[in-house]
Amino acid sequence: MAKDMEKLYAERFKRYVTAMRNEKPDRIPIRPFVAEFVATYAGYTCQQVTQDYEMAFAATRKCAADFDWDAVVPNMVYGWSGLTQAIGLKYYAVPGVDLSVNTGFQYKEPSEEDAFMKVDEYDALIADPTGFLFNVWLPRVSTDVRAPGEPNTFRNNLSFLKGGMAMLQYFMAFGTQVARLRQESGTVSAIAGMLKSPLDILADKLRGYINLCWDLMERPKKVRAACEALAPHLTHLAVTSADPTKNLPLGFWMHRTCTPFITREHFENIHWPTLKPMLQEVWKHGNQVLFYAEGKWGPHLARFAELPEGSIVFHCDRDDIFEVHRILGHKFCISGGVPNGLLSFGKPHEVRECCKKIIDGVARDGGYIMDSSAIVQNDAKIENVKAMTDATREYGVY
Amino acid sequence: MLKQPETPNQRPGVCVPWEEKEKEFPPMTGDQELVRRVWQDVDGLAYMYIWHCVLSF
Repeated sequence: MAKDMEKLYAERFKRYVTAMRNEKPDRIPIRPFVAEFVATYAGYTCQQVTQDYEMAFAATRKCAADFDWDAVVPNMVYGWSGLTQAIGLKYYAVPGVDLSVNTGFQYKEPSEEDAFMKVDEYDALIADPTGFLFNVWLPRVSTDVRAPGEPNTFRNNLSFLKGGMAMLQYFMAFGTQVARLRQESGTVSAIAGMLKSPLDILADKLRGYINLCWDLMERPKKVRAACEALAPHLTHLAVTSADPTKNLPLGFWMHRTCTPFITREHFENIHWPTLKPMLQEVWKHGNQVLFYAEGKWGPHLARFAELPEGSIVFHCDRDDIFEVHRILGHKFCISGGVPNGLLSFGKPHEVRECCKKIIDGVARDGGYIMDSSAIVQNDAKIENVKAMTDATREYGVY
Repeated sequence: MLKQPETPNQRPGVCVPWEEKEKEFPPMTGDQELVRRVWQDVDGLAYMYIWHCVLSF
């Protein structure tokens, strides 16, 4: 690696990690979670970056180099459709197949009647979560996988073989991508590993959101028991996929477990008591967790403040970032806060003003990372993303 | 505190528990610990596969 690139990487790494530890770096790190935006910028369609992860990797590297960012997610268009098609996953809508070529991939939630887990299957999930996923869930979510007892098929066998090989190929490719980002543009990988809450897994992949709402009202004890059964597995996956050097945070994708998606009572009695021990366990291993807090989490910020100092980075989407900073800023680094709508429909001078306001109100003492509110998709204007970058470079020096 | 799994089937990282698999082997002449470790490592790849389907894709 060229010496100057290694020096640049070291500077950025220090800047990023210092901010995440809620300390003051030399300047505010810029770490946009750019998804389909990379396709727009680099001249690809959404279909191309979803279907061929090497195109997504190349587009991400081009953005990282051209915008001179401190850190990026190696591929924020993470749902490689080559893999999901090999397994035959029904819940994926793929650009260029199910969607227009310039629409980002989507998750399709089945109707309540067609939920991937039925209401009377909580006990089976709780008794053997891994067995349930293989024997019941996977045959329902895949066009090709057959349940035990059904006649076997060639396509069933291929689903496992191709799915397993493809997953290995994809995960291994991230090692090369991370190294190339470092070598070619001195860019740091923003996160390592993955965490979701048990309640979100129940909503996203098992019962569906509407069914889960009924279950929370009608059988809350079963829902809590299911969360408790899922928690050790999700924690295991988090810990085994986390950065072994303990510098980069785990990405924690927070979907529909805040009010008003669930009631405060359900947050207090089911979600938080099953999630908090997971976070404590991850922190016991020395890994920080990046709360990618999609939507609004204002009513729950005081709960998050219970966590050990420095154990999380809180990424702000639609909350009032100044209020977030007031409640959490003394313990944790904050990131984000630049509205996606502004990046899509605003003018560059408005983006600059917004960045300056955030920097003045949140970043004065360090512990802040510049980013948009949610992942940046192909609706963001390039000149606005550039304005966010330039404004931070200009105003964000300590 | 995380509630700990009660049975081998509920254990994270495991699809077919070693306790179940080792009964299928004849009496071993060599290093049983080596067989166990490699079995569990490869079994863990299948575990990773199904849980990443749910978690990541």
